[in-house]
Amino acid sequence: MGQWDDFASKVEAGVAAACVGALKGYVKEMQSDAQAFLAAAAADLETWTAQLAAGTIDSGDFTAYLKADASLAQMAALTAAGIAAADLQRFRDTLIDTVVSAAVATFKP
Amino acid sequence: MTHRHVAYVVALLAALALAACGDVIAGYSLQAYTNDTTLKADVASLVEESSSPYASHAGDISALTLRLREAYEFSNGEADNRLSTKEWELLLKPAPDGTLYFAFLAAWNRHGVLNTAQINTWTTLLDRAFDYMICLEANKQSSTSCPKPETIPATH
Repeated sequence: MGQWDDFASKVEAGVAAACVGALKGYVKEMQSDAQAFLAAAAADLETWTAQLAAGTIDSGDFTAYLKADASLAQMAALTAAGIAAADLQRFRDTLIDTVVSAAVATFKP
Repeated sequence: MTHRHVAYVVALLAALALAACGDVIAGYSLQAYTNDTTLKADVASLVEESSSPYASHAGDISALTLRLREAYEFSNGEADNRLSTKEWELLLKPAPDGTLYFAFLAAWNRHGVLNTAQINTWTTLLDRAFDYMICLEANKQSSTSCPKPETIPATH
């Protein structure tokens, strides 16, 4: 039973460290990135509206810019999803290493 | 064996099961990162050239478009790389529905030459697209903050 407790405490410590590493600041970072995208899109719209009014660009340009911003929104979402997946991959790798290392260190004769 | 011990046996089995699963996302690729960063610079250079006639840059456009398509094919060929490849597809969505690279080319072709305001906007929009791709690739290696989107320079 002592061996099990030792194994359990090693896994607990390793998993706790992995959780902190994988999730630390993630939500805050995603919120910040989303806000930055929205702020940039709002500034873009202001710029293009002024340019359209001044005749610097035409309606074709204006439409193309809006479509480009919509695609960039999709790219921002894909990047956020990719960052989450990469963090999950690292967490998974750490979890596997932790459990295997703890088992070997505790139970290997 | 207590419930706690059973739980840790389950954890061990779960870890082994996770190990047996495929990767969640492709690993970092230096080639992909290099493609993203060099093509970002090359596309920005081409946008700068759009103050001169579209017709006089047909060769430059063909050459760069080919390199972009090669980079897409590299991304598409990597296992578990669906998210990065989808970003390439958005960047290279073809005319008439293209919204980024081919939309810039369509605008340049339509106007013949682009003015400073148009060049500033397309430079910024395409830079942002590459920045998302670069940040995703960088995060496959280690957790990294993405740069805030560039703002479009004011034109006077």
